[in-house]
Amino acid sequence: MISTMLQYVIDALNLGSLYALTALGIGLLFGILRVINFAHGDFISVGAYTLIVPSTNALAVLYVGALPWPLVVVLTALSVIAVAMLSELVVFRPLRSSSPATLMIGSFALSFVIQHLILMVHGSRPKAVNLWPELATQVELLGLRVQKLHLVTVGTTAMLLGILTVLLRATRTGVEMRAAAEDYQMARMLGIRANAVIGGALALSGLLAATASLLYTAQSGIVSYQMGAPLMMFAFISTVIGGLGNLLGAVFGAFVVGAIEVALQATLPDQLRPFREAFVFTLVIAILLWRPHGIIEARSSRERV
Amino acid sequence: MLLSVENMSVYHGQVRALRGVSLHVRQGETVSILGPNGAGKSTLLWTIAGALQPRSGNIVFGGRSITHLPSETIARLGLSTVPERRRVFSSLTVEENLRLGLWARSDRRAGNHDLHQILDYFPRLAERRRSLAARLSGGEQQMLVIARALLSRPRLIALDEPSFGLAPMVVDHVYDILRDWRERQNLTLLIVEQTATRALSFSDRVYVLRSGHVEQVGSPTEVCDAERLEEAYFGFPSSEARDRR
Repeated sequence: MISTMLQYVIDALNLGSLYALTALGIGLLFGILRVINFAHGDFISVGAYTLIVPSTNALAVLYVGALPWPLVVVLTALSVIAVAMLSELVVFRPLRSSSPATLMIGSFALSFVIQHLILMVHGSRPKAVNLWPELATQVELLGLRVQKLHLVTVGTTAMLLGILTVLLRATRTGVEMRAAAEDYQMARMLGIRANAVIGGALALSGLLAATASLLYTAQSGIVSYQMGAPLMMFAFISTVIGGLGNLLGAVFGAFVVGAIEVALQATLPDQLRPFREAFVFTLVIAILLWRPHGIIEARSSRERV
Repeated sequence: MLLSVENMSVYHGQVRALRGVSLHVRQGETVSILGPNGAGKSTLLWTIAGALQPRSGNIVFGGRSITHLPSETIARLGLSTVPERRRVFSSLTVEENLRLGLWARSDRRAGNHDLHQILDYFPRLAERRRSLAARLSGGEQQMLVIARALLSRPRLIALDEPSFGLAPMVVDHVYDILRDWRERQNLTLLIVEQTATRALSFSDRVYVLRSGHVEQVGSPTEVCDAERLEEAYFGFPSSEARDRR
């Protein structure tokens, strides 16, 4: 019984980690640009597709994915960061002074463009990709048999959270980023170079997306041009539950959503399991009715008089 | 002439907020902008700071046109703006807020020496340097934004309603600090206020703004003519002022 419970905890941590990585990328950009970047899920797809040889054949041939793992990580990160920076130059920077609604539509457009570029190059069929099969083995941990990949996922997420925290707390760029995220206009009036800070945030969100794409692909074993959409959806919900504009909240929300999903998967009767997501969203609505600004309200949304 | 605004008009969408405003501030001078709510005082500061774009006119700072420069460049040229409502970064600590001012400086040698000097001067901020700016009282937050601006060693500080929402004693303290630093660093100040009395006794020259244009310019004694000031604020002189005539 206890071991089953522990198993669920590990599942929830694993799923929560994937959502947290994605939610952090979304939250980071929302803090600074005040836009939910709906193309973030597609950044994840881009990362997954750099692993295989571009072709419309049904059978995927590993390309970057066949290299030693440090190279896989670096090359995937570089290609996703490149796409993120290109998005900044082509979409976000020209729309900088537009309304948030315009920016959001811009990010939707970006999302469609990336999806269809992938469609043109790789075809529409989902492809099986066997990334890092050695991680699919199980190890003994606390009397449980745990997949190595799940440990790597949780560990990588924890590590990135740590690095990100140090970066945001202890470096000049990080402090400037947090300042810009809270009050963009005031930050600029203090001489903080807006374009540099936004570029940095996009690069960071690209790095997070690349990490999510590698871990997600290794777990699912499938790439498709819409693979980023469900991750994006759940991560977006996580940031809303956690309190938009609050990175800690985004991570917390991600683990809450992960836990809800695993709990429902475990407890719902078989006939209802296909509708699991409907239950997840119902719970999300309930949480938002209870705390409309998210569980952890962003400090900047409260005004001190 | 450190700052001059020439015949500037600013629109909020279709609504004209400022029409043909001209203003100048000399090196070492303290200039106040007075006027009722909605006269365009804040719009004027925002436009000088580069946060709003004028439709026509020109702004020159230190001999260089800054009319269409982005806010961060204007700040780095040494024009530091302290907007109304004490824009502290509430999720950052007091010290992080101050460091942002330090980093804003154009010379790279800005160091901890200046930070310590400021912390010595503001003992309340020194005590609370590790706490979040959100936890400070209104008066302390006002000290923080002024200290942050001072740390960037600006050639001109533009302050929007430094007395906003503060108790009279705290306002006295804020003005004492400004007076002190004005002498220490030969600061040039441009102050927007809604309440006239304090600004009048503090300034070398005063501009009275009304519905988007300059109604009056002059020394505090010239502008102090109660009737005309009340007219600017209310559109008509009060009976009291008329009786005095």
